Amino acid sequence: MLIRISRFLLLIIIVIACAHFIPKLYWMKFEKSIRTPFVAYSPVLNDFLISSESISDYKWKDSKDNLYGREEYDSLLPFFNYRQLAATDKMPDLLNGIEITLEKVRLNNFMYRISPADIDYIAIPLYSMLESKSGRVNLEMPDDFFRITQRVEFIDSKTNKIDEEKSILFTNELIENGFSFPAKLIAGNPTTRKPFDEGYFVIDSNNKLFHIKMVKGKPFCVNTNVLSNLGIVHISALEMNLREFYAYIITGDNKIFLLSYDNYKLIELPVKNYDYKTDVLRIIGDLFYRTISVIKYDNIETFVTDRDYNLINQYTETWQGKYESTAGLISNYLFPFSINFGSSRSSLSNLFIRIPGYQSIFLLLACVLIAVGLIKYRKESFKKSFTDLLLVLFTSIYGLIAIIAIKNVE
Amino acid sequence: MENVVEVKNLTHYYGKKLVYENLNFNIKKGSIFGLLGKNGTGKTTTINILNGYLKPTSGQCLMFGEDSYRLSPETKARVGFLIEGHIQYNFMTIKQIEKFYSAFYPKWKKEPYFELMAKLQVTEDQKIAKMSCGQRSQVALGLLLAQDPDILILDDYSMGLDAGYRRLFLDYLLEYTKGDSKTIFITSHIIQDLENFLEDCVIMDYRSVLVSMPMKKFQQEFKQYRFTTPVHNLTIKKNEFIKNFEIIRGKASLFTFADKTEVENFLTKESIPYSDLSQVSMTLEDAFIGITGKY
Amino acid sequence: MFKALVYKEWLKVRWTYISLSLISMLAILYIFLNVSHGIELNGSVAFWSFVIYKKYMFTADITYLPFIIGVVIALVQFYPEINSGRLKLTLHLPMKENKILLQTVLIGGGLILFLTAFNLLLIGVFSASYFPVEVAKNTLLTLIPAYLAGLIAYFAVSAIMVEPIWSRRIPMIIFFAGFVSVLFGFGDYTSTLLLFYLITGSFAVVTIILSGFYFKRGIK
Repeated sequence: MLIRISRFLLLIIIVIACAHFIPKLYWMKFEKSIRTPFVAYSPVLNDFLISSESISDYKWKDSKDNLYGREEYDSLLPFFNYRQLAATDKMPDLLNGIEITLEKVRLNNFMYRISPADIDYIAIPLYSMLESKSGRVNLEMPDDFFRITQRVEFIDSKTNKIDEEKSILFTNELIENGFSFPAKLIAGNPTTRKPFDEGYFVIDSNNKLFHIKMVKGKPFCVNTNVLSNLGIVHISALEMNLREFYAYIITGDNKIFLLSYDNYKLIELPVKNYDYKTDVLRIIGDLFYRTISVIKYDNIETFVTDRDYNLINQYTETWQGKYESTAGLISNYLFPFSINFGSSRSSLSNLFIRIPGYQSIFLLLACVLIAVGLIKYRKESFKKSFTDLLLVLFTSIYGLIAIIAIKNVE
Repeated sequence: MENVVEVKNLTHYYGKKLVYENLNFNIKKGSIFGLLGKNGTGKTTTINILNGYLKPTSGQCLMFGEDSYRLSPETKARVGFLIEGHIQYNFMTIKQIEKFYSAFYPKWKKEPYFELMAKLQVTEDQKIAKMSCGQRSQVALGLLLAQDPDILILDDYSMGLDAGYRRLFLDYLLEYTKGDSKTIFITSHIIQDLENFLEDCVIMDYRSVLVSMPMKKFQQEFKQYRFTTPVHNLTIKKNEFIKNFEIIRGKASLFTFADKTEVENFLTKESIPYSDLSQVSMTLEDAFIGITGKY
Repeated sequence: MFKALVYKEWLKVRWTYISLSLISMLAILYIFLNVSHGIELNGSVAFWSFVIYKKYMFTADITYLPFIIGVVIALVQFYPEINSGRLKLTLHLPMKENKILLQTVLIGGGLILFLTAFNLLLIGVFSASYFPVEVAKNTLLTLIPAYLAGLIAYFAVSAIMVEPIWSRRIPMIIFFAGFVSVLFGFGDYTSTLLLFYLITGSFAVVTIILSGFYFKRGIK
């Protein structure tokens, strides 16, 4: 009995290895690159411009399928390509009645990308509190790092000891502003490669959102009064010279907000069908528009708003997904399921199981038949091979490989 | 008398190669039993089956009434087993190995082991790996004696031993069986040492058993006759009656359990011209070679 | 009887085990010497930032050490057993065969677990002396898959050693290698995945019973 159990457990290990490596090897051989199209909004055309691999001579098209070459593309997206246009002296001075300067373009241009892997990430909960008003041009990394547990603690990296004075100073400031420890989420940019410092956005244990930074060595703490029932799952803080908003906020019900400089007012982006667990969010800002793309498995939905975030236009471009390609369709017939330990949708190693659907039933039936034949050929009793057949029934080709590799015991 | 070992219709194949078919023998309690035969006739195979290290293709092997493939710990404690080549845990020293084994056997007697070790030119802290083949055989033997099993199974005890160690080995075995009702099962391809030692024997050939009887009976009843014949290329087929036949330049040797008159009758019946028919006395080794053949 | 088995296994592995313990200790000392050197050269802020924000794994050099320990202990423990069929002696001991085999691998597994605990303790203490506890905790967490791989490799190699036939050994080597290799991926392992591997990896503990069965049934 114990022998049979030990064999069966070995078969399970083999099935796991097969369910991971066989599809992996298959895709290593047959996977074709899928380029996600780039969708931008042209202030010249007042239409979308889509990069497309399928167009041979032209790289770009608009939503009415007019094609454009590289030169045209440059001038159709003057904000996006301002460096190229400026270098060849083709930058317009006036667009839609508005005067264009390089400074203006530069100030208003930004692009930001939030992928599911950025959200599904475990950070080491230690942060640098930069001096936000040092009076110097360049930011400097402080010597200490802080944590927010039952209080704020600054740890001096030179000694690995807690700076009690500074810790108490910050803790008291937070308490005075109604912060309740510990912190649930801390978002900031602990880097000197940014134009200025806005410190951190911290959700306390009562789900209240606080803005915390250090100003001239003193703690600065403000309750943003953002609704505590928002269900925030992610905050991307950014420091942009534009100073329009502090951060992107993503909630559990897949809403995207901007936390504005206007008294921490929340602005909801008019985006539909976004799922932070699976979709990549791309936000392009320029002098005229905000172009927000939700990139899914086989389509990209792009929403264009004016500077007040009113929806102007939207466009959807689809393509053939990995599993709709020939290799993908075949894979659906081959593999009853596959196990992956990494995913583009997460920065963590986890268990990702994919079950494609009914197509694999044909190979499953074939595998069961082969298994029956194998048991007959090996002259094993069906009663004792019952668990083997069950294994093949549930794991198809993987189970078959396992029982071929490790024969049943009499 | 009760049987310690019963081998019933034992058949074994390695893949498609038959080792033997329908092997039958019993080992009586208190007897010294020899499984003899040339190399490759399946002696070690039988020992492996007997100790549960090989599942026979068919047939059964009982040790103290238990199926030898599933021996209980209690029965294993009653069996002393010498592996071919006197293999032991050679990473242990003389002292360590005694300490190790003593934990497993309730009847453990360390005296015979250390007595035997005292006779070897080795210290107690010497590793078995660094000993000579003869010394290693004494370690293995000493451990068996200390275990005090009811049956000793010795697979080719003589392998690699010179005459002195072979004699010493048998002397200790005789000492061990004295008085008690201890059983010994021994295999060997060298037979001369075993004269006056074995009580029962089975002599094996490739794929079959040649003889299965008490040793005394074999020595008394197995005979060699010589005669001269003008037919230089004379062949006589082996059968129930003729166990072996050899001829060199007209000088013929015939091995059989039959007496002289039966041989004469046979030769006459087969119209084989012969002269000078006489029985020749044989040592045990002669008899062994006589029955197994030289090739 | 268990004590006697411990004695036997210890006699086999002791020098290897002590050497491996020393090697892992030296490796850990080397890693932290490297850390202190890195802090000295780059400054503590830069080094901490690298570790905290970029998740720089200063222990990366010892990723494969637990795996090597597992494999070597299994080889040292089982080579003498399968060499000259010495395993026959072991299985002849008056205990149930499965119990002997299981206890043998549990002794080896226990030794590895002890060494693992010792290594992790050392790494934890060193990490906590150079970095805040959050870093020490993260360092230990990132090493768990590697040490788990070492343990699974130990049980797998033990079973592969006892298995007498190459036609079963080779698939065992291939599939176990694939199974264990997943633990050498990068990134943070979720507790779900670690639990999954802990459970399925523990299946390998009893694989030696199957190998033992084949050894007993099929030896020539």
